[in-house]
Amino acid sequence: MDEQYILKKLKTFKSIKPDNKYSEKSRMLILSATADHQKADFKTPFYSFKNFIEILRTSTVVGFVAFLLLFFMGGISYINKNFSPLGLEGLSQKSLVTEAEEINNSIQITLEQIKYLDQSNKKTINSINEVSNNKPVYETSATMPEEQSKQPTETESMSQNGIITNNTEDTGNIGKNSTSTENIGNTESMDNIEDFLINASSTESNESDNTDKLLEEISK
Amino acid sequence: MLRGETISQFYRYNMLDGQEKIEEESIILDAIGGKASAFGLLYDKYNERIYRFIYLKVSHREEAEDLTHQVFLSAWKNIQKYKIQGFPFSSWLYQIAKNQVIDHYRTKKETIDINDIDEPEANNRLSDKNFDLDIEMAAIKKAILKLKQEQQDVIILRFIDDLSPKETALALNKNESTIRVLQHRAIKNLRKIIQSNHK
Repeated sequence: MDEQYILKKLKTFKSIKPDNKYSEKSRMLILSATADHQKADFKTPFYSFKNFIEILRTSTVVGFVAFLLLFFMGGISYINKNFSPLGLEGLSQKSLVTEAEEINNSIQITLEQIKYLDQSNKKTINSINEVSNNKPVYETSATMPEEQSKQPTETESMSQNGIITNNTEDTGNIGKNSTSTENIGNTESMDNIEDFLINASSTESNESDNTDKLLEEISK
Repeated sequence: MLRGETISQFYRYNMLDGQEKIEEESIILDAIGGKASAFGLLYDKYNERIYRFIYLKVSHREEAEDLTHQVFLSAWKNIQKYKIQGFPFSSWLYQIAKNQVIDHYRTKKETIDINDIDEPEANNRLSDKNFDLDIEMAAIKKAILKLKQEQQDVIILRFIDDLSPKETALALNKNESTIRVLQHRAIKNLRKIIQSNHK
């Protein structure tokens, strides 16, 4: 086997070729890879300017997105504060507790007032009952005109008082004057009792009015 | 645009070496400037050569494909370091390919016996018609692998890729005279190996 024959045979190795699919895939992968010179090269003014533009564009987009996020978050918090039912002042915990305490205190005061009025009312009723039990004749003012007609005239009252005396007949009346004196004292006491009863009834009516007013307030 | 059209456009059907060199230089300058399409043209031109060079040295199709991919990837990533000094761009690619094969053998833990080389697959690349030719080619391929690395390189570049002694010298970073000596010794040794295999 001579050299020419070997060299001739070596030429046939030229038919050795790579697979077409592999070649295309390899080419695509290689060209998509970034070459080192395409990385940041700040020595080149043009490339630094181009890089600056790229950075500016990216930062603008990022800043805009951040602004939108803040805007939406702020809007949501504003809506939640003003329009959300959870945002009503009356429903905040502290205000609710304070308001409840105030209402409770006002109710307590009202209850104590009612109690006081009830007690005073009872006392008034008791006193009225006592008075009515002692002097039943002058209980009401309606009976007063009748009593006035039964009252002696002036002359009679004067004779009763011992101012005008008759003869012996009058002497006999002296003894009777003592009883008129008693009648005079009895009249004064009756007037006092009448005044007391009038005052008591007016007081009672006033107190009942006050009680009604308080009850109305409570019901409100 | 199809790849065939780009290659024809690249060559412009011009057979003058000078014109081709000028066109290649402009393409290389564009690739150095970061133009991926320019490097794509260079890839299309030298892909087969680099693959063949590596395949004849590793005798395994998949390994040859991976190493070829690594060669061009490394070239594209370091294209800025390439300086046009009147040498062909292929010389630079062959140097990268040679180093890749050396690194491959260094890192490769498993060793494959030369008798276990995937012959049928290699034969498919060559020819499906002439069975005797396939046997001969397989024998020659085995013989090439038994040569020294430098002699293999010379055989492949000079007699398979048809590079000139000058281009081969540039590719292997040696003198032309060294290449001629290596070439002579390589052919002589190859002949001995083939004859001994026949016996």
